[in-house]
Amino acid sequence: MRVSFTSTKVLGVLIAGMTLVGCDCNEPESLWNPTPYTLEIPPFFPPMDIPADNPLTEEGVHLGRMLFWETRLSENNAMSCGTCHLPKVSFADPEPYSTGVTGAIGNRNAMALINVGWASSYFWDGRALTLEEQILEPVAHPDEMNLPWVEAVNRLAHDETNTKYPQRFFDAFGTTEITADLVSKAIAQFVRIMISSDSKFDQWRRGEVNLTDSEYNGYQMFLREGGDPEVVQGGQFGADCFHCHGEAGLQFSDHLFHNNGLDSHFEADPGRALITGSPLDSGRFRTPTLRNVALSAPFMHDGRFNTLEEVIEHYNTGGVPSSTIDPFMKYSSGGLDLAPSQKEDLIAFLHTLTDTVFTQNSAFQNPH
Amino acid sequence: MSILNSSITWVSVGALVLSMVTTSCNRQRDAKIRIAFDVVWDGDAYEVGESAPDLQGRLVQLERLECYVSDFYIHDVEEGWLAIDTVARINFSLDDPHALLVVPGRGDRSIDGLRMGLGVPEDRNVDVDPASYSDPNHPLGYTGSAGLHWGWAAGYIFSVYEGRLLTEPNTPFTYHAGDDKTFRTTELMWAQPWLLEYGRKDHEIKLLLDAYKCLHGDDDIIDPEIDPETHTGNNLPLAIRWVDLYQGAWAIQP
Repeated sequence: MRVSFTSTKVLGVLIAGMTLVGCDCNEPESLWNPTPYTLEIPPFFPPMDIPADNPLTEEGVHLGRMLFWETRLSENNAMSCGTCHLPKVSFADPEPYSTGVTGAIGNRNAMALINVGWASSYFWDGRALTLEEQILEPVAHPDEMNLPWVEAVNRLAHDETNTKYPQRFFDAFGTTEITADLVSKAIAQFVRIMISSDSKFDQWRRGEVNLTDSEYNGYQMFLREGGDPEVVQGGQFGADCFHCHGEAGLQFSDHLFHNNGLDSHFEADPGRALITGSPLDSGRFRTPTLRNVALSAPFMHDGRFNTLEEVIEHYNTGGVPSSTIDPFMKYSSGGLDLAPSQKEDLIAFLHTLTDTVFTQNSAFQNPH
Repeated sequence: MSILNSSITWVSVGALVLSMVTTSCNRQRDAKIRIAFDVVWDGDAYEVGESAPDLQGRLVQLERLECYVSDFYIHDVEEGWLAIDTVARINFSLDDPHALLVVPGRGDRSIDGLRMGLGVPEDRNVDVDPASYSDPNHPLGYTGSAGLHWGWAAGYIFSVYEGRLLTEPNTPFTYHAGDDKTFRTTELMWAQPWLLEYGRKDHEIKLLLDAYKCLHGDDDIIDPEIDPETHTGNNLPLAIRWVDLYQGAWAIQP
């Protein structure tokens, strides 16, 4: 059993070589040591698809929270993401359209930021495919925060006294060089942890509470096909909500685009067609989640309905015919034809999706 | 020193290396078949969103055509039907819808048939929550199944055939098949066997779905003005009529 001294030497050289390759002598590696953020996925929720190039870290999430509420990301230092995404209304805007720093008014309602880590596209027309991409838009948009990104990062880079942003970027990303991409990554990390999972419906699903008879009836309405079977083939006297607001993964959205019969023409806002260029997508908009819907009025992409009663009434009448109205809409048969008590039950169910633990979560509030 | 001195150690290392090489070779020897899917209308080229006439001359505009395909088998002339476990979501509105079949490597095979399940297998359907898939982008996972799931107690939507007759006003129709009762299998045979080569990765076959035949069959015709809607549970007879037509609407491109 001869030794293989030569082999030992070779092994030694290999180990030494590997050690050297693993060491980046120019970067003091030990200084940057972010703490992985432990994201707890609630029961019955799907795994979250987090981009490999933007893993959650404690430092990144904290930085993202500061930036989400940072008014210096707007031209007049008065507006942050949180200005139009108010916690008490489920991080939405109670006005139909948001007003930007120049006084310009947008043309769509600010969507609620709730469980958006599970969305597959962003904005009402789905023009952004990632949160990181979505976040880049409002800061520079002239009708919103109206601040060129060059100026935005410059402001952050030269604010060392209070917020210590360069150090915080280093802690989160290993570099003091602030860029628009890193700002959006940090905010995306923060928004991904904004998870609602403590509504009454969640508690019922977990077996912790009971629904009232009215709430349960409303849930059954939600799950049943719409229409009188004498009028609508296969009708089950239901409200037919589940097709678009599917409960898979408890997110109450199919993440697709539908024309729910609001208008007969779409010159004012073609919706998804603006992105795809397809006339088939005219008047189609992304299905929003129903979580916290009772808090996030007004409703629809243009905020035209102020109450849940108005929304239910819209579906109850079947909507307005058009070239792209969704086949799920019952416009041609006169709508759902719900009785007043059925409407009340449906609204009672929708209220079970309210989660004030989420809206009042101190970890999501303004840290400045 | 003692470790490196042991001949047993060296033999073990050698065996390990050999085993890794062997495993890797086996993996490389698997053959792959890429199945490309395309839609036609009464045998002619067609794209979802276009309008084309039905039997009565009314224009039909399909707007959504999607399906799950699963439970594949290929027919080896010598060994018979070989099962290949795959589930794929096919969206005919997207570029290049396709499924991939991996055939374990056991030498070249002579293939003359294909079986394909139309829907989601029973053991992966009802009571399976898409949220339970660790990869949300799996075809049956939360993101992968978006828009093709009815809820954990009701299972997946196997196929979606939506659009409208361009009448005045237009007549939307929706045929959603799901439920284990509407699972179908289609069997397609080639006139001549072809060679599936051991280890080759670029075999390609093309399947055509004739969307016209999904409404018009030899024994049944569905008129969207008369029968505009089924979500299976609310109108099972129509769902069954539709899937029976759909089952017969597939062909292998020669």
